[in-house]
Amino acid sequence: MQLPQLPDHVSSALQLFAGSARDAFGQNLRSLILFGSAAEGKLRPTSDVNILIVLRAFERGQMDAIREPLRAAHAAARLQAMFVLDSELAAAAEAFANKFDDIRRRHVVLHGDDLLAVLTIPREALVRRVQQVLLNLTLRLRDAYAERSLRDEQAAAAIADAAGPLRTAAAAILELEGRPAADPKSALATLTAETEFGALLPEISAARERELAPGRAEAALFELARLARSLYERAARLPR
Amino acid sequence: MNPFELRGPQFLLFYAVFAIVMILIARAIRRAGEGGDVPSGSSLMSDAYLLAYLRGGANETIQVAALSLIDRGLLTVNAMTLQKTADVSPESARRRLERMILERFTTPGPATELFKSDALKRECETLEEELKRQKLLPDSAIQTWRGMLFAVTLVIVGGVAAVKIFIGISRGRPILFLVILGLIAVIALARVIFTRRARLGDEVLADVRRLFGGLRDRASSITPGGSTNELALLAAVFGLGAVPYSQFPWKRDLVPATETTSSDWSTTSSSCGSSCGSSCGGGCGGGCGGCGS
Repeated sequence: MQLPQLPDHVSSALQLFAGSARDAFGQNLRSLILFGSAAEGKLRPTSDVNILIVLRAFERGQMDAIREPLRAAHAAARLQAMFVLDSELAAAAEAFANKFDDIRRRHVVLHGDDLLAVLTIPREALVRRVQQVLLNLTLRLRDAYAERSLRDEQAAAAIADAAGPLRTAAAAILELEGRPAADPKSALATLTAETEFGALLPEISAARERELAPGRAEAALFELARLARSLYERAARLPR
Repeated sequence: MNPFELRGPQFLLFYAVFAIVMILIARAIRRAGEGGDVPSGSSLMSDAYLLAYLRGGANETIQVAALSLIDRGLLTVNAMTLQKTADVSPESARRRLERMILERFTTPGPATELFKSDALKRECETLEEELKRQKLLPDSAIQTWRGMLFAVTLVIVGGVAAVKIFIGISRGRPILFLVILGLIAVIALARVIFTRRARLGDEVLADVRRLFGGLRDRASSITPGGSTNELALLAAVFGLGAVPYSQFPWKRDLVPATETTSSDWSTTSSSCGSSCGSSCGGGCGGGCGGCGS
């Protein structure tokens, strides 16, 4: 099992969990896929480790066997699992096109087949989903500004929370525009550089690293809501 | 050079060095003789009570179980008194140890009662048997091997001292310091050979501490309520000292009573020390105060 560069305790937890999953699901385990920042080897201390578990069938006895290992892996490495049947994969990819587009871009196969390599995400579904995500993010950020921006640390946390979805959406937009970026972070950098929000990028990164200068979060949160709206408008112009 | 011809202070120095070397050799032989492979899979790694027993024994396990039950809202603690939460059925707990604790505290009782229950301790013995089966605690074969090793090294370490004591007595020389040094050497030898855990147990515990190192680092962000197993695993692997008061303020009502009355006090104390000393820093300060007192 080839793992990206990860902290030792995360690698150990992943290896233990992968072994438990193989034991628990046996032939029913079609694929075990690490995705997100862990797959890129860019895990931050506060990041979750995301795993996609593709099964042939959802059987209670097998799920019972994976419960304790999953809880232990969550405790050890903040591991979050998504269980999907192979027969559901195409529908899930269409329903959550933005998410699966990101998984397809950033993943490492820990066991079984690379089902994502052959996964087709309809363009129309991806455009629609990116718009939904960005509109949802815009509304949530406005709400966060209204409710949380009077407290610097709360505003910074809201920025940090929004950064991931924003970067993923940016990557999807660039891909849909026919100029894919190397990773979601550079995708957002590319898009913000083309707009009035270029100065916001360092503040987003600082918020994620909990290093945002005091007094900066309030204005940055407001600008982030505007950036989300701007990206939504850009996504709305994408041909389906 | 015949060491038995050395004068008193020189022989004491020789004997001290000899005893230390013998103790180190005995330790190496013990570890080499306690073979076996670290258990594969994660069944042990995910069982908080097995881990707690491996680390600290029955009292630690009972403490972790009580902590978990309180966090899940099945047991309440107030002013060092425990009581099963009203309307909660003991049957709602999956583990037999948990059910027994809930049944014991159907009526309110002091938290110290946790450690006075023979039934709870007997229940913990099932964990001990499992750990012995995996050779993480010394089983009868390991204990026999240790006994033989101790007998051989005792003959050597004690024999050298005994010969010199005999010579000293025959020559009318003082022997008190050598007797004391000999006793210290034998006690140290016994401690090195008759450790609570087997070599595999130490290795597994070290592995588990590395595995859950990240959990200890983010202990202050564990969400109370028992939706995850994080609190139980944190306490099982690193001791109650690693559980932050900031997130679990009710620990104040539980810890002083349980720690000062625990028969396994030294284990509790050392686990707290290690968890705080290494990385808890500010988050753990209060917890260690409780341990040390």
